[in-house]
Amino acid sequence: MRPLVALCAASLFLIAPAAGAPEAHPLDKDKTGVEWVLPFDKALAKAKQEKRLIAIKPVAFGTSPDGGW
Amino acid sequence: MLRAGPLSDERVIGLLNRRFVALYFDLADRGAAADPAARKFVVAARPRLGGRAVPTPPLLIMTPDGKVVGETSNYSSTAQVLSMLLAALEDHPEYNKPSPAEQAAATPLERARIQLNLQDLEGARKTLARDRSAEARYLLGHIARLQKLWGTMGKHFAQVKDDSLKDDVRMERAYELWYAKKHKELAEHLKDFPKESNRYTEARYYEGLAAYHGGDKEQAQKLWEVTIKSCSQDPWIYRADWAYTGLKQGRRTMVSSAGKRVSLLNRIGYMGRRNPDLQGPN
Repeated sequence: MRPLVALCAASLFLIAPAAGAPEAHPLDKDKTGVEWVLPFDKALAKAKQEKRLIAIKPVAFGTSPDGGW
Repeated sequence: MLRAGPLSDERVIGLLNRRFVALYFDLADRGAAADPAARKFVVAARPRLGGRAVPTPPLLIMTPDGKVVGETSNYSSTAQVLSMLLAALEDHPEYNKPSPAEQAAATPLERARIQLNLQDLEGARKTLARDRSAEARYLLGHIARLQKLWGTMGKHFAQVKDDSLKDDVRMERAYELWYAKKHKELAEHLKDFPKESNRYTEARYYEGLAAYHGGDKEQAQKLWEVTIKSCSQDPWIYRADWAYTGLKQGRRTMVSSAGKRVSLLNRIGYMGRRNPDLQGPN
């Protein structure tokens, strides 16, 4: 099935993967310097253990294996 | 956009890494960063993010038991993100305690770096007051730069005699020219910045801004394009890509995840706020 296309002009996003998004996780492509902890279960366990708040960025416009979002 | 902006800012990164557990995920279960468990956790607190069409998701700060204690728009400025993060910590001191590694910090430099991450600039300044080392003088100059205290910055940097910090001092001094809108001087100051320097991409980014604000948009685009294509990715490359894409997109705000991408990094969208540096220093 052809993936939905996220097209947006204002503030409402159709929830859809980026075109042709495969399974590989793009985490290692992020070079912001933010120490992301993924997946969620790992982040939650770390937050509980270290008594930290979780900073969560949901992405609605699609994430691609090349690190795009 | 958030990633090329606030999430690429050293102050936000320092605070996030010091006091938060950071997570991003794709709301679409087939996206490359899909995470159904994260989606369930977030949608329980923010049901509006559970539909098939959703508003632009904000950056959320949540307790491990699922309560939202901070929230800011995807299009927030760095100052807004920082303010929200600090407010969440202040309201919830139970999640704001020093880690064992922080408690073990022994030297003034180590303690000052932690204070700097926590945005306690005055605390860091006091911690370093008696440290005469080049690194401490450099850090004091850096703090003064963040506070835009240019005279103080200059005095501290004049005491940094360590050649290994030469490029850092040069880049830090560039900010005074940037904020004074001395674009010609800024371009001259950053010209031929050594490529092997850890501040190279930052210097090229500001050299591009100097060209842009000096009226040479084509030169700015060219400079950013060459830098993005020839350097490893880092926060400054992200920021340059945001600026480059903003210029290429012009006033167009429609973007598509399936269409041809303007971003040299193949970013999916830079909707909303344009890179604020294109408006000038703030």
